[in-house]
Amino acid sequence: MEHEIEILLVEDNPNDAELTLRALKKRHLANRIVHLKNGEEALDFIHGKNSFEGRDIRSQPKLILLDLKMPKVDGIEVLRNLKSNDATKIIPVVVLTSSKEDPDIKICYELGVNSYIVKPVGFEAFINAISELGFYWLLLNQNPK
Amino acid sequence: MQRNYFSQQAEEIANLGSWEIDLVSNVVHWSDQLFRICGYEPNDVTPSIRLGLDMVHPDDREVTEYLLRQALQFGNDYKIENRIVRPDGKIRYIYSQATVDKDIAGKPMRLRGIFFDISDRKEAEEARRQQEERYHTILNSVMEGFQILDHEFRYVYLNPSAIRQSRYPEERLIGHSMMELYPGIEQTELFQIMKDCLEKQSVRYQENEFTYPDGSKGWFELRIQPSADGLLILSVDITERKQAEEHKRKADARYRALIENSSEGITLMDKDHKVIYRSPANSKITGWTEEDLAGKHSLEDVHADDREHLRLAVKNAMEQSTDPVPFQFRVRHKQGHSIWLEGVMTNMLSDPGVEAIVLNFRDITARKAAEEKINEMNNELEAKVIERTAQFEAVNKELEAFSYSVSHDLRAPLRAIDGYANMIEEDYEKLLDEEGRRLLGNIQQNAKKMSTLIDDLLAFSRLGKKVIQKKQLNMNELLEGVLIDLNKAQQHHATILSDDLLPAFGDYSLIHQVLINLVSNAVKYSSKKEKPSVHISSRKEDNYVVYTVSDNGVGFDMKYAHKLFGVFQRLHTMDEFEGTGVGLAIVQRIVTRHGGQVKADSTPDKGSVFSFSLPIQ
Repeated sequence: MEHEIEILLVEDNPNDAELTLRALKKRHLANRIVHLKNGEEALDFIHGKNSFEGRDIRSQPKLILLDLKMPKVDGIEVLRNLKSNDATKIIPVVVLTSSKEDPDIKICYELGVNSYIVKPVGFEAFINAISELGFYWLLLNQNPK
Repeated sequence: MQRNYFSQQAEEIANLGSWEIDLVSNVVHWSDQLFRICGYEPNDVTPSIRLGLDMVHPDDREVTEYLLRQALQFGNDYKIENRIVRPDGKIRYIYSQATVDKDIAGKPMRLRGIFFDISDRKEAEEARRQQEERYHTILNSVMEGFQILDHEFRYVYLNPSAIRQSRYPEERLIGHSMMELYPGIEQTELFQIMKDCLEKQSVRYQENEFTYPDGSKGWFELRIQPSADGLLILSVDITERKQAEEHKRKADARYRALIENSSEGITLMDKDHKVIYRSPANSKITGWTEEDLAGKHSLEDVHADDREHLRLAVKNAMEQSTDPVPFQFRVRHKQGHSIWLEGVMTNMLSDPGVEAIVLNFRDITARKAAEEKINEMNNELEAKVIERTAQFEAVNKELEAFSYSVSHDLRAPLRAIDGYANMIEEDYEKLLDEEGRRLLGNIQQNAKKMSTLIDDLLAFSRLGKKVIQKKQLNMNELLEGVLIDLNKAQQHHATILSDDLLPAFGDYSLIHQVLINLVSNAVKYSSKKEKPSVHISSRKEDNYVVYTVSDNGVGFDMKYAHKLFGVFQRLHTMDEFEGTGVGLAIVQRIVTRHGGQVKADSTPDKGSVFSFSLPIQ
């Protein structure tokens, strides 16, 4: 029996992923986290398909941290898929992106993103942002059950 | 008796009565005809001297009685014309003559007289007199001059119009000769004509321009004919008519000259579409002469594509006379090439002086060619603009993609550099010596600087896309906000003073940015002074408001002033003052987009003055 997954991190950049995990660890939020490298894997995971065939899809993460720029299936497609599916649209999705210049902000909000975060360049700011984020969505925010 | 019968017959035919008074017997005898002349039948009344005198018209009676008495007393014969009044009241004119027969002693014994009814003659005379009076009145009142000259050309008679025409008073004319009054007239043609008429007894009609002694002229229509006295001349003053004719002749000549010398072609067409006149310009324009065109159909040389247009224009012009109808068509020049004609046709068929459709036109071939050229160029230009716009849009898209990628892709490795440096610091600090820590610190510092550079660069490129929304700005309030932001962002010990600033007209957030950049620069570059001070002021210059930010900082060498506003251009090293070299470039870009100008002035070590102007509206 698997642990109940708390966070699904979808991030193709291993460095950003490492920094994110480090930040979450500092808050002790990284115990039940799954890191997937692209959108395709993420959708397979959520819907229990292909390599995740047989996964109990009744058990879904409490939070999805989603990078936008990814090979194959990008963050927007993942978001669109999740938010247009009754079974998955209640999962909070926080988009993490590199720049506020991103023309995708509007699209993300239209698709129903729960939060849109620009990754700070500075280490401390980044660590703070991620840990605050995890703290807020996992501990402070009340999810529908 | 025989003799008496004939005598009576003669008296009756001649309407002649006779009478006799026998002074011895005092018997008065009237002939039968005398009774009749006096309005009686013979022997109706008994003739007597009294009866004879009573018949006489009261006005004539006194004279008659006097003459009779003279005859009776002294035997004087007499003749008299008087009037008698018949019993019925009718008046008769009588010529009577009396002869006295005397005895040997010379004493009157018998008076014999004739009594001649001259009423018919008198009436004829009266009628003639009235007739003459009528003629006279007419001659006095007619406009025509009527004059009579004798054989020596002396004035015998002039009616008032002739006197007026002569321009002399009547008394100067009558009895004086033409030669006297109009010296030099002998040399004129008119005089020759008059002489001819006299000599040949012929009649002449003549229009003559007469020159008066003062040099002025008048036109007269004359009828010169011989008369009993010499010459009779009827004259009508036609000066005004002649002037009007002359005026019209000149006007006609002018219009003709205008039409014939105009470079514009003029053609007249009658109601059956037949050309009735072509001005000389027609053949100059088209090359076709009148002979060339004889017998040609009017549309023959017109370009096939334009015939319908021309037909419609003519139809339109024929149907109404209010508006000139414009037309434009191509016609074949005699030399074979096609020329463009443009003009208007005006329906003047109902104008009695014209009775034609008037076409005015000119050759616009050169203009058409120019228009075509312009069209061609416009089309080319448009194509170019479309092409360039597409190129520009493509470049713009590339630029957008570039800045997106700059912000996205440059940041990620930067974050990694800074992140790992920090991780080393956090996890392995104890393993590093001082030099190791210094080097690590340099990595972190450069990562931060690069991050700032990226942010500034993006801010600068964003400016190009931003739409400017101008409104009236209270610059005092705006500066206040700028100073609050500034004090939050950086620690400084500069004294910042501002005059009361004139309002500006611009985009709030952009002008805010300009002030932040300039004031923070001033603070930064004066920070090494003991008493740094910054002063902000404004003034009006023509249609601009000029804002000035001056400081007492390090300043710069004016020979590098041209580099100041370039992107990433710096006049100081990072060691001296930190910065990315984007702030002033942003200032210039904003001010320029507002239609203003930026200026910088400085003396090294004394301070700098940066100013920017904004249009009042």
